[in-house]
Amino acid sequence: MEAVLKEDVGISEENIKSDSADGELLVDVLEEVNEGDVTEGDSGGQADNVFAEGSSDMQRLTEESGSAELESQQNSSILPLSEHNMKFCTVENAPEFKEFLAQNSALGAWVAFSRPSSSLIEVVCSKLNDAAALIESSTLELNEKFKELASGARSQSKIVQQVVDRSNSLEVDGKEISILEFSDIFNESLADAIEKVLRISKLAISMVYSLDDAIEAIQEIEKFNGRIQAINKQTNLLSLNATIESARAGEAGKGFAVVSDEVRSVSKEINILSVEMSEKIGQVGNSVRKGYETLQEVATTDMSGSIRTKDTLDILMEALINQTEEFKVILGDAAAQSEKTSQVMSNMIVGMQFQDKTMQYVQNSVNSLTDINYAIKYIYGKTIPDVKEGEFNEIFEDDFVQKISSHLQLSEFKQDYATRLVNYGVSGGGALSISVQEADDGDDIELF
Amino acid sequence: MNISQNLLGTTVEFLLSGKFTFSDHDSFRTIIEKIKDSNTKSVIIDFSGVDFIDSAALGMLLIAREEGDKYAVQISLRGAQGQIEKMFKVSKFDSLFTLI
Repeated sequence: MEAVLKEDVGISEENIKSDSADGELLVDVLEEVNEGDVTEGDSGGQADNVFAEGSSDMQRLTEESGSAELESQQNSSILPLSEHNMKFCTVENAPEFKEFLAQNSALGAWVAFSRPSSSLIEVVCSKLNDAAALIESSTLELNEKFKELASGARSQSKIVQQVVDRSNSLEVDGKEISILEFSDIFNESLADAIEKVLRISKLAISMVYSLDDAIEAIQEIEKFNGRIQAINKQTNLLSLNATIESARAGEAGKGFAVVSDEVRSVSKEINILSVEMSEKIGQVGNSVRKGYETLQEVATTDMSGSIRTKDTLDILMEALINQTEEFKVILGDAAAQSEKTSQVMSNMIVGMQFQDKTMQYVQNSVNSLTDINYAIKYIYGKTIPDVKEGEFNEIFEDDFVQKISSHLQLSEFKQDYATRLVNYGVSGGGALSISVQEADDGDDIELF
Repeated sequence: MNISQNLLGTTVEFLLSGKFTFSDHDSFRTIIEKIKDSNTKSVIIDFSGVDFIDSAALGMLLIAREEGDKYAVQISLRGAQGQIEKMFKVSKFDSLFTLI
């Protein structure tokens, strides 16, 4: 290893983090370069040729690394390599590059390309793996949530079933009775009650008829009594006449007068009896009539309204039974819906197997990038011994690093990148360190 | 309630019209008497013209049935509709009488 390559780590790091301050610094450096003499020599000539061959690749690389211009860039003649739409650079079609190309070796540029690119690739690989891990953990979490949802849907369906079961029956005296059974029991009780109502009606009417007859008979008796009194009156009159006639007959009529007197007193007794009988019959008649009035109240209490409630209850029961049937239909729908939901859940869980595919994409991408990374480091290792002092294109590297950094929007990307830049060749890149050590026999090497 | 009577051999037809309630218990007795008549073998009570019947009237009909059983006379109830039909149904008269 001939050259000790100076690497200003400080400047590179700061390039990543800062803005215009370093930009000015770079401007100053490059101005010096531009103003410097063009040295034509072997290295310059070699540099030209090598650069010409490699410049198309360089163009591609700078384009791919990003298209943002340097923030501090004011003068387009400065830092020509940072232009993203830089054309294919040959001395012929880009004469303004001639000086620059003359002073910079292609090899130096390639070497300078190595560290930023390799570090970036490693950042990208690392973040891709992070992304994959995030997808995996998120997918697992989602899966769990969906399982929960599915389970919840099934529980809900069970609850609905319970509700319908409960609504279909009633608990009476610790026993479960279905609506239908209840309806039957109710109907029976009601029919029983109606039967009794009808029996009472029949008995009431029967009694009414009996009382009707009784009242009729009483009326007959009262008529008889009337007749007795009439006859009695007549008897009294007759006996009065007989007494008068017997008085006229004198002594001969004395016996007859006694008889007529007796008849008169009998008649009086009959009268008294008749009057008493009249009273008694009157009392009986009143009692019967009172009973009749009471019975009339009983018989006229129209129970047809109560009888009609059975009709109403029949309608109610039918409605209740219909409702139960409707509930069964609704439950069927709910169960079907629940099943559908479960199915959707299963499909979602299956669908989230996109995660597998994504993992494969990431894995393949990381593998590819790693391969490229190794190639870069290998080439670097092979090339470094040939790079002479001062040939290393520090400016290009700084510029490239800044461009890359400006495209890393997440601060964790920026920081990871910065760390890798610092550790390049120290902590990683096994091939690099081995090849360098082999080439070097104990000489001091400053590794990037 | 109005009761009109038709004699058809040994069958007596009674045509009722209006409202059949407790207050008709007296006039209903003519039907009971006809059932007790030995010449009567069957009785038809027509309800086509009746628009209302109460529980007392149902009781009267049950008495008529009782007498019919006693005197071996067939009792038929004809033309029940609307409220009458409902009441007959609820009272299970279809199992007690011949309903036509």
